[in-house]
Amino acid sequence: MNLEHLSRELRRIETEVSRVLVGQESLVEHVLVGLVARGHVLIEGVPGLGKTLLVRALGRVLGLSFRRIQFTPDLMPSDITGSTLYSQKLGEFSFVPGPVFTELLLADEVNRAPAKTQSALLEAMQERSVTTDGVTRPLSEPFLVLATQNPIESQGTYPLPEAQLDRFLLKLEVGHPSQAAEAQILLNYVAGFDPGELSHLQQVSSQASIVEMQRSLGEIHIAREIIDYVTDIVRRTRNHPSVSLGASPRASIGLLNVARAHALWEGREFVIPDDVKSYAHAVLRHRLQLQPDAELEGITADHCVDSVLRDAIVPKTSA
Amino acid sequence: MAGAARLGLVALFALVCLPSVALADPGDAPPAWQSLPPAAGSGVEHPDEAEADEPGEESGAPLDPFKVVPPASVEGSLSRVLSGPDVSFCKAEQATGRHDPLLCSLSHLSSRQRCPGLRQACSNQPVEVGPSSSSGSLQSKLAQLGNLTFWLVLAGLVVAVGLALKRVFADAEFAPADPRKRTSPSPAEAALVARHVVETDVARLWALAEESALGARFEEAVAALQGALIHALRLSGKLHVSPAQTNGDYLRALRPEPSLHGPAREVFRAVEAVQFGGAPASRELYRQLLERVQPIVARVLSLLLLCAFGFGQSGCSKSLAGDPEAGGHGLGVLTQLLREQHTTVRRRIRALNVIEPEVSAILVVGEQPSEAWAKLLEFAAGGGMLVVSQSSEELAKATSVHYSADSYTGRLQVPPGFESNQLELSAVARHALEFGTGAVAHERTFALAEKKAYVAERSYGAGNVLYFGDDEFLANASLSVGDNAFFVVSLLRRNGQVLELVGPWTGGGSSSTFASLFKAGLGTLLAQLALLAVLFGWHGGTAFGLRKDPIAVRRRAFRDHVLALGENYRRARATRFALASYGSWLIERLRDRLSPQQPIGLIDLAGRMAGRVEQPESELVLLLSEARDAQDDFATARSSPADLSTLEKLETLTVRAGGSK
Repeated sequence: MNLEHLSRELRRIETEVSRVLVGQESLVEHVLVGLVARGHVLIEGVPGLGKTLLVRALGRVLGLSFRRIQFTPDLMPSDITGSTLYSQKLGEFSFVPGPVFTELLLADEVNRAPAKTQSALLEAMQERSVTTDGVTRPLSEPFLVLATQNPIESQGTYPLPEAQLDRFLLKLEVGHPSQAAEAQILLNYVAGFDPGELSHLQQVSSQASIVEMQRSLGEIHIAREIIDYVTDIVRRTRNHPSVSLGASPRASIGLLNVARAHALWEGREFVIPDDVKSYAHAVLRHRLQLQPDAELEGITADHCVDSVLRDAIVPKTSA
Repeated sequence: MAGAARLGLVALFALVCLPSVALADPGDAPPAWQSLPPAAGSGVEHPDEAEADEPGEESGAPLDPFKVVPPASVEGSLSRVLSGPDVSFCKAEQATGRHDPLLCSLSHLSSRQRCPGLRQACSNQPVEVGPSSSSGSLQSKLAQLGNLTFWLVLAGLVVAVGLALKRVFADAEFAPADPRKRTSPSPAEAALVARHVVETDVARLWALAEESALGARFEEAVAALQGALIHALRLSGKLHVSPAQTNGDYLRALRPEPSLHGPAREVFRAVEAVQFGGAPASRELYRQLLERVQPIVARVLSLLLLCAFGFGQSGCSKSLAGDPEAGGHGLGVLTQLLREQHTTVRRRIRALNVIEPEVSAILVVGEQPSEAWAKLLEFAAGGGMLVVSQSSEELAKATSVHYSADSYTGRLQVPPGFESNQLELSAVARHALEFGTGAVAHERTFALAEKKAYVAERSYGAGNVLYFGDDEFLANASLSVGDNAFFVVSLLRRNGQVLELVGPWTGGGSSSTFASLFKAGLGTLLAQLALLAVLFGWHGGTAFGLRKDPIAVRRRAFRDHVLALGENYRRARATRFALASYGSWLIERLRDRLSPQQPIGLIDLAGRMAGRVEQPESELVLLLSEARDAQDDFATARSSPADLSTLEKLETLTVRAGGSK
């Protein structure tokens, strides 16, 4: 395994995607790290920031299949997983796969579907397989769900329960691009850029390569001190006074995996505290349930993670 | 390199402390009993021991004192002293003779004037600046630079402390208002923090790195090198270091400085590979890191040394620039000449209550109180030699020797009977000695000014009193003329014994501790040490305890709890239920308050409330009806945020109607 080679490939993917998705380099990096860590990503941001474009561009650059589901209140589980239909031609029932049978899935506005439908998707995300009519069908490998939700509108939404949120490896908050990036977007538009037409993007990776990256994570060395650091951070979220429900052991595992993936991103064969710290917010923010009065006072999960990181002692520090 | 670091620290200490002490102004009265030995290795041709142990001194017989000291020895010492850096009046640039009639008179009395600068200054002629003068000028400029640096550093320190305080307060403001975030750490956390004790001193880290490398513990060595780098950057103000910060945080902070960012990144990467990646730490790696870290750490140490130089210069600047003992009227030359003739000269700070037995002679400078004269005369009567150059009532009464006013400028004569009666002595005499009647064991006159005794010795008890007509005869300018120096040294030399200078500085008490410190010349030194302590404490000190904000206990209103509860209901989509439960309770409370005697319906309740809270009755009826309806349909109706709004209005209404109690 050549980690440097894989790291360079990841960087090439980022560069290629950034050709069309301007000013969101950090988002691209986080999504790719999530993909390598075999996790799913929940993206929270207002419409119009290029979330769909990101997934489409990723599909194109990675050479992966891409599907999109627009979640609505009347969406049914079978609309996601697929259903068994009777074929008059064949004279038998046959399974028609739903959009979940893809490699990259964009679940747009996931909080607009009722809990039953959400659960169907989330179960598929966790098990990486779909069971219908007693038959379990595995999903593609790799399988990455990018779910989005709008933080502004709350009318007619079905917020994801905390237990379901835990199934997302990362929760990313997308902000507006900088002025320079926005100017570049306009310049691209003036020059004739069409978001629906991405044929000019080059495929710089492949399904096999992504799978190899995912498998190579196991070879990234993790020192005992790093494991202690991760558990210390997660434990502190449970003891935090503003948090009623802290991060779960699944969060610890997720944080460790993400740290490994980030080490791979950096071309390193080992994890350092920076890998953990730089992804702590993304891994933990959606897993913390705050005290009601803390919420009333405007304290957010990010504030709590900040506080935890301020107190957690970095291993082998010189300070 | 650890040796270099230690050397740097020693140099820092030397720069800070030693100049303040060793070069302190003699006028600032050094500590009591300060005794400096003769200059070592000065190349002086001292008389040998046999010569020093002359029989006349041992027996106390009145032998010719001018036969004891070789004139060449005194001449050599005098040349050295007058050309040295500590004698300012002899330097052309610093000579102020033209404004001092005494010095100018002396400069013309003899052809053997050893201070040409003084004579030129008196004759108002242009002066050639020699190497020693330029050296003095350089020292003076250095002193000014030192003073300037000192005040700049002091001002910078004050500003830095102000900024640090501001940052502390700013941090306090930035911290989230949640007081629960600052609760005391749990015992486990406290234990973890207590275990987390790391070295933060750059020099010690550097020494640790070298020691570990010598012991082939390269993992520890590279970690110590990284620590030295981080704390060197902290000392230079580039980094804010805390246990919760990673190397990545430090690199982000160093981004604006590419010259530091690059080397630091390489060091961090290499050390992380050892610490977290299991890479072996080798001597080669240690050497590579050393090359990266060394320039940065050296730069910081240089900065500290520069600061120390500023401090040190401030301590010695006064000595370099304006030492009164180095002027024409000072006693610096006499002191040094006597020291070179094996005589220990020291200033007496302590009172004269007990005079130590090793003191064989006391030179009195200036006026003394009567109690002091009593002790001095007691000393002389006990066998010591008292040297006086000024009249005093007590002295005249005890010895019958008076100082009469005189005015004579010119050569002094050595009376017959001395082998060296051809000495060329010159003085600006203002007094002459008059001896009263009375039996004395012996009496000798060593110099005459126009046939009047000018320098004489008279026995007093078991000792002697040596009289000089004027104190100026012993001054630096006088000793630079003719054979005055040889004459005076011959009379005052105490081979291997102690001569004390008693003057205004003797027995002077201080009104306070601070005055005492400053009087002893320690004020500047202590101020420097205090500033350094503050500096080190601020940069590298270890906190005595965990800093934590006081826990602000804020009483939360019941209304807040209700709102929080409502928020929970909203998230559970059960706001209708909340309205039904809490609304009915509030309606009952309103009924109790407005109609305690008998139950009333909602219409009547709304009417009574309208009169009390001055709101339209129709609105109140709608509000109460909505709350009442929730009791019936909370199981079937869909929850909506409007329920909480209704509940809030009802609660506000209850408060305005007098509260729920």
